[in-house]
Parts: sequence; C-alpha cells; structure tokens
Amino acid sequence: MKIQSKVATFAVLACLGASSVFSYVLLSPRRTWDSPPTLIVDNRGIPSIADGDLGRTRIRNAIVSSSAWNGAGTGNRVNATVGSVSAWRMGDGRPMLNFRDPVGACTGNCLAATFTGFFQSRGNGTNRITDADMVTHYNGFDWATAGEACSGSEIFAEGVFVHETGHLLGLGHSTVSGATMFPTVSFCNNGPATIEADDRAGINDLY
Amino acid sequence: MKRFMAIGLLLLSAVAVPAAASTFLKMTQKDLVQNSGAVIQGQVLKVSSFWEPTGRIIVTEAMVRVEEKVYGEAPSVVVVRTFGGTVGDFTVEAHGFPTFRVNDRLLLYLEPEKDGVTRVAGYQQGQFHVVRQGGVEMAIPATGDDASVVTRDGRVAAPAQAIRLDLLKESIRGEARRAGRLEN
Repeated sequence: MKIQSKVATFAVLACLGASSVFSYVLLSPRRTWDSPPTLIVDNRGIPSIADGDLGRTRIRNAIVSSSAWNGAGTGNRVNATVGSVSAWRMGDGRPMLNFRDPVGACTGNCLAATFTGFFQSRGNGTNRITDADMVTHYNGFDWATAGEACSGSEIFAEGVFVHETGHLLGLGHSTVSGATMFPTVSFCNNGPATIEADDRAGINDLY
Repeated sequence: MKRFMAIGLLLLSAVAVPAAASTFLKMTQKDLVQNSGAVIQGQVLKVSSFWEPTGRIIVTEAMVRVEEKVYGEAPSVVVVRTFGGTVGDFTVEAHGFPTFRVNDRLLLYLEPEKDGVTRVAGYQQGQFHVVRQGGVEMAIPATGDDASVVTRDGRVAAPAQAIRLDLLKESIRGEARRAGRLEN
C-alpha cells in the first residue's frame, strides 16, 4: 500500500510538474481551421494610437509576425490584411477585427471581445472552425502601439490582438505567467505580442 | 487507491476545462458600484436567444425576478441582455460575458437601462451565483477562466473568491453610501 501511495503521489506531482511547464488549454471542443484564415483588420484604425497610422499596420503586422503564431514552427497559421469591415457579422466565414464594435457588445470595462462558436464536425472526431470575429472598445481606453511612450495607462494593442488571435485559432488560456495566452496583462505591457514556449506548444498541438 | 484515482480524474478534468477569452479591465467594488444603477438578487425565470435585428450576432435575454434590491431601484422583473447564445444550429460563444440559465439564483450589478436594455455592469465581474453551502448563503463569482484581465498595477489578478452573501451585500451598500447613492 505504501508503494502504491508513493507511485500515486509521484504521478500526481508529475502531472502538476508537467502542467507547470506546458499549461496551454485548447478550446473545447477542440477545433482548427482547415487553412490559415485571413483576418481583416479594420482600416479605420484606433484614433488614440499616435503612430501616424492609427495602429492598423502595426496591429496587422503583429498578428502575422514571426514572433507570434506564424513563428511557432509549423508554418503560417494566420494571415491578416487591412481592409473594410463594414460587412462584419458572425457566421459569414470572414474573420474580422472591427475596432468600432457595430453591435455595442464591448463597452464599459471591456477592451476587446472575441466571438467564436462557428465550427462544424469533420465527421472524424475533429471540428473545423468556419468563423470567428473580434470587436474593440476603441474609444474607451488609451490604446498605443510599440514604440509609443507609456505614461502608465496605455493599453498596447499588439499584445491584446495577438492574444485574441490565439483564441481565434482555437487556443484557450495558459497558467504560465508571461505566456501570450496568460489571462492577465497590465497597462504598458506589450509582452503578449511575442509568443513563448507554452504558446508554441499549444499552437503546435492544434496544427 | 480509489482516492488517488479520484485525484487523478480531478486533475484530468481540471486541464480539460474549456476556456477562451475577451479582455476586460479588472474592476474593484467601487468601480462596479459606480458603473451600476442598481444591484439586485433574483432568480432567472426565462432565457431566450435571438439574432439581433441587424443579423450580425446572437444575443440572449434573461428574465430575472427581483427578490431583493441591494441598492438602487429596479422593477419586480428585469430583463437582462448579454451577447452570445444559440439559435437553431448557430451558436455564438461570447467569451467572458455573463451567461444565464433558468432557475439560476444570482446577484447582479445592473447598468442603468439604456435604449430599453439592461446589462450586467462589469460583464462576468458583476455576476455572482447565490448558492447555499453548509446552511450559509454564499456568493460565487461568475468569473471563470474565459476572461482576460488587465490590471492597473501590473500585478496578476487574483481569482475572485466566494464570499458570504450577507457580507457582499454589506460591502456593496457601504460603497453605495460612500458614493452618495444610498442613505444611511
């Protein structure tokens, strides 16, 4: 009995240890895109971003950066282009990041909202994502992009949208502090724009 | 041995929890009270989901019977709207948004009604499930692991804790008094 207890205790500790190394979580049920989706980034930008381009190009570039999901080691996972999002709607198969929130879902203390749920069974126990969309509370916070000075209350857009894109691709949250998919970030912290080992493991598990 | 198998199953279930997120600013009790017109305790009578009129997204409305107004004014039945839900074969998952089920007993921070719609202030941070545990009514935070949180001070946001319902109400009324929204 003592040996059994020790084995069981070791197994539990091993599980805990392993989860502290890789703690990524996949959306449930597990789901993936058939091919890398092309996210349309709102060409109106975010007015508070003072990079001369309202943030649109830097946000787009961060999403497709080799420091983010496309650099995880298994090829391109997401494409992005700056364009019109006037047709934003759930279920149309065109993933869009709408900075202006046409449905008023993200107000008050909400910075950015990701909507998923459109997926279908492939019939072999896996699920195909067919759409996911995001909106932003563009005028409720002081948004900034990399390189801008931070006085203490700016939200760095690249980090937020690389994180949200992780959800769009099928990832949930990680318990590894510092990972892009860790669920807490602070003002002036753009760290989530660069993925970490746990994020890499998660996306490579999915795709 | 059964005990260890149970622990193992618990660990497995812990890593299998579905999660995703939207991003929200962490709110204090003061923030929540300042952003709400009323705080109520009530029970969900009915839940219905539908495509909002422009056809862009599915929303859900919960009809909640108000059992107690903790502070502020509210009708005897309030209709609370949230985003996400299922209509036919279509489901929109609105991560980090309040969700409702018939018969849920809830404590809700309600935003002032706007355009005929009432919403929960602070999203999941303004929603607690009322549960009786060991003869004591507890308020269990609705916040799960499907919400990302931005903190003002850079610290990792501590998970919201269950609290005795009477203590939470006392705290809300205290904050409302300090904000001049409730008489002594």
